[in-house]
Amino acid sequence: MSDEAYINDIVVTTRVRLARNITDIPYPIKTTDESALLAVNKAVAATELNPELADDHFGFTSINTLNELNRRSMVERHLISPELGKYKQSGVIINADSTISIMVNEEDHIRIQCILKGLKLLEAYEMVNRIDDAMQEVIPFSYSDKYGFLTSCPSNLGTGMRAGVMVHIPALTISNRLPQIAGMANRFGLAIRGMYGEGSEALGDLFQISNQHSLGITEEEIVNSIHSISREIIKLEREERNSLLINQEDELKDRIYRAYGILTNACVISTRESMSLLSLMRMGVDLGLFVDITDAKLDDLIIKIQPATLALSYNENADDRSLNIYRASFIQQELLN
Amino acid sequence: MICDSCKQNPAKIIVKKIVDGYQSEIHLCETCAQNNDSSANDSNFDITEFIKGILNMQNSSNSAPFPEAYGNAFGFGNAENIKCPTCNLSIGEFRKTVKFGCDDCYKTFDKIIEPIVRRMHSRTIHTGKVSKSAAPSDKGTLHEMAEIQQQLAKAISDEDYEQAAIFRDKLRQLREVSKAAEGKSNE
Ligand SMILES: [Zn+2]
Ligand SMILES: [Zn+2]
Repeated sequence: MSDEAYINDIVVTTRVRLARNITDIPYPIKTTDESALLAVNKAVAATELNPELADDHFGFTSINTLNELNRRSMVERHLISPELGKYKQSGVIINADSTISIMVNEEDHIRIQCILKGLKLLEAYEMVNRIDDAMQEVIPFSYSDKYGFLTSCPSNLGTGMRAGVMVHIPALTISNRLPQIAGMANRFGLAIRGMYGEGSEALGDLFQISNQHSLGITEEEIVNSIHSISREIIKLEREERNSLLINQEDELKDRIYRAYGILTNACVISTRESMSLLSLMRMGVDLGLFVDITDAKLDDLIIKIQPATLALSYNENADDRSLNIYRASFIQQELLN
Repeated sequence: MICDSCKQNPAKIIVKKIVDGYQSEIHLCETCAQNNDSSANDSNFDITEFIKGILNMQNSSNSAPFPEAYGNAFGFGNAENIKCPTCNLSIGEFRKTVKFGCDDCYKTFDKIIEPIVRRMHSRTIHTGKVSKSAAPSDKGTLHEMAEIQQQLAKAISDEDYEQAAIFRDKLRQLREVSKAAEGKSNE
């Protein structure tokens, strides 16, 4: 296994975002139709129409032009937040390969976000930083010497930066070691939460770890602290997988092969059930139990089976029941081909 | 009122939290509040209660934490009614949403922002990327303050209180310097 694949089996994606506001325009919670439109026009001028960013091929989509299913699918693909659309004239500016999405008129005028596969904190930061620099050539961002970049919620002040990794940690979950991970994250000044699902449940054993503080800390320090905890979690998850293999090899393999059995034979399956089974299978791939399937394929599948995204590829008017039936056959097709 | 933690400095910040359904209040000085890790990592912490705590202190004249500041900026009326002249956001609204409405809110509500920011970030001065549109000004003092804040936090976590006191005094001095400079630039 290459060094990169060795890390990517546990760190699924890296995400970095910067919050920015345009000077002299009220923030989205206090905006008027006119000023909200002004924010959109300035954001578009600084990206889509910015010669410096021509190679990124940015394009603006207004939230009003999206139907509900398309909007939900973009949330599932992490291109926009569920809150986008709460305020006037909101939309998103996305580059050609969908690695960068810039939300306009969410809680702040501008939220520049980059998502990359694997552990790529520095790369992701450099991408959003480049966009930030290029945009600042065209529009001035709200800033104070003391508080840094001004944001609507003071929790984003300073760098305006939130960086995080999505980790897949089934072995630590099975062994009930999550409280230990949460404690460790806390000591680093980081927060950990389930990526999918509500409340304390975490579907698919996927967790997001991100910085809590954005002020009085440099971008480099944020990147470094997340990098350190990621390396630590990779180590712990790997140790836990090894100890499960040593002490309960048959039980572990049994769980994984049963997951595969259900996924390839079920006729009706919910998102929730698919995700917990795919999580077990993903660990099976990492342990070398499935030679024809890769982590990348399963990560892709996890997005494709989310309700809105699946409905778009099947039938926009499908109800839950027919979607669950379609999901079962869709997963079979993907896994057996 | 004296700080519940160090029992030395005057308490300036009330931290309210709900533990097992019961509300409890801790009175802290600025230094202790900044380093009050147990509450900083407390997921039960309710920021809207915290803001209410700051406001209540401003309304009771005998224990006002920043009497000179609030005498000038807010008068002695109900602080909840203060509104940002640019976007019309009131403190009451801010308490509900914890969102400001425009850049000028940061000037209007300047005096309550620092304790909130400290509570959220454990720091109060930006050290990251500098905006291209930032007016060139003397950032020396702010940078120095940020550095000393970090050293102060470290001294306290190392339980080196002698050093901590030195840093704290240095920080106070610099705060006066930066206030004086601010006053000049506003003239
Ligand atoms: Zn104290
Ligand atoms: Zn305002």
